[in-house]
Amino acid sequence: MMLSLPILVSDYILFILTKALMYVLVATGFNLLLGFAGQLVFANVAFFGIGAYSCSLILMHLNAPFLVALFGGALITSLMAMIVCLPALRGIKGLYLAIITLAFGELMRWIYIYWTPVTQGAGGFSVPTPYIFGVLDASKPKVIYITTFVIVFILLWSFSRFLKSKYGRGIIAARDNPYAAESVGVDTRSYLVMAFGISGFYVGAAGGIYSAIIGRVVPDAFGLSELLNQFGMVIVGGLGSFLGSIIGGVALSVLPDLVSGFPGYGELIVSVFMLFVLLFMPKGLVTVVTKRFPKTVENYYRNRP
Amino acid sequence: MNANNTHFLEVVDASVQFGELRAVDGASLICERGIVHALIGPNGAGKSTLFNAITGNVALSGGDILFNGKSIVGLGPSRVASLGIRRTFQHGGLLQGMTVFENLLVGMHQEIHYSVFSAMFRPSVVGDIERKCYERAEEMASSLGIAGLLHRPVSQLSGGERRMVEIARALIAESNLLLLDEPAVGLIPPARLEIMKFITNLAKSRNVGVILIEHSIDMVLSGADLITVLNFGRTIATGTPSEICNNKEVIDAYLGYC
Repeated sequence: MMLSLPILVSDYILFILTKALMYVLVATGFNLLLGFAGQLVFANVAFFGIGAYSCSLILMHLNAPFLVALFGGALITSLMAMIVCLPALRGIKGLYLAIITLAFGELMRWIYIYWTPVTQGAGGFSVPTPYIFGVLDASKPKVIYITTFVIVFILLWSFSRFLKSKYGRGIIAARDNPYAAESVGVDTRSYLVMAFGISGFYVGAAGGIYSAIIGRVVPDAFGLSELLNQFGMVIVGGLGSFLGSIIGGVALSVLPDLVSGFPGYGELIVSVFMLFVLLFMPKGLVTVVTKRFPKTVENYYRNRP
Repeated sequence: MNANNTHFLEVVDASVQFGELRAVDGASLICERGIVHALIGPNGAGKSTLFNAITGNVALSGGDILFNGKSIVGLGPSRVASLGIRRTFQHGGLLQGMTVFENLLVGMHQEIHYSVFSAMFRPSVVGDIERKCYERAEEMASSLGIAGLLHRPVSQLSGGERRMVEIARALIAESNLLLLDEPAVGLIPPARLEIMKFITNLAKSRNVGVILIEHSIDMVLSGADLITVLNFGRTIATGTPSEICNNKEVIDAYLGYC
């Protein structure tokens, strides 16, 4: 059904849908750290930017196929995320970890601006035309929509498998009660590294998709306002919830486009919407689904840290 | 008791210092497989701290802890757990965000073997392994009489039910040494004796060593093979239940009657 959309709807709607799918990936990766691992890590936009920059740089310098560049960018982001994990490994938690990771995000922005030989400075650069299988132009809305859909579908499916496996349980156990988790043999430190690595991979892949749909990477796209946007997706969707990331990512990426026809009131509508959700559904929009279908898998993992 | 004279678990002159306070002060303890060894003593005698020292949650300031003849001092809690040493906690050792079932699954963590990659991309491999664990969790729950709670979130359980779940989670693993920290607190008397029977059976049938901290003296006397009494962080007596009951020092420090 979702795959037949390209022949039914306009390119503009496809663009919005692709962006929504990309944000689902972003919110999923972010939620893994914030919700499931219970770590206040605010380096998500940094991961997003690293993914976007490294994917486009691989495209530019290695002339690689888009999928290879996307995978490479996601891997690089994953490695960077594991480096960002170091303070958390040393036992820094909560607001202290939040401020360190925020600082990392700003440092990355500084690098995008001042490492001009590579990043071409504050003006950014145009992403070379990404090709899939050597022929399909992935900057075309129809192609990138289908590509994104397939990638996001595979990654979300594997993420749900991951959550239900011993590794997902280990990460949640380490969040809920690190002493108890250690007492049954969960090595909480290596699980933390794993959570960072997987989160980085997902958000980095989303960054690669971003570079293909927008066609240009600039440092300003990866600032604090984008971070707040992504944070909002996780919270509005449902902290520590698999379905919540999907709902939040779609809701907060589509809504601003829907209300863009009301100049001056758009931001107001979005803010009121977020306020409304948090007042009446403190566990996020996902409550609508969990109340209706309480027997879903979702229910097992719905609890917040 | 062992042929080559190494004990299963041997705590030698262990000391734990918290700032000015010497919580454990040269305590010694020997535990063998298949034996239920009770650890009793007044509040603040250092019983739980001794557990924490064995499991690697607090550092020893002196002495040694040998498991199968090898020192386990300095190993982190998850490494100690991977040797097959399992424990329960005196307060809140459960995973609050999870159901009873998931708590039991986490209890089997060490015995579930597949890679992260398999977990994400090979559902058939993982499915088989997980299904066996699901069955084991169900068996465990019904043998402890908590099958009805299996899919309830832990946060909705009563105190006694939580205790049972925690015991089940400690017992479900293929452990060889169990450290139970007041497992029967908050349980009704018949359940206590039931638990004690279960623990003694387990020790004999699976040849597991059990160290048990417990204040319910009738429970200890009904099931323990050996009793060690701690006071002010020191071992003041070790012996069979009848020896302990007649020990003058123990009566003065702890029992008072008996």
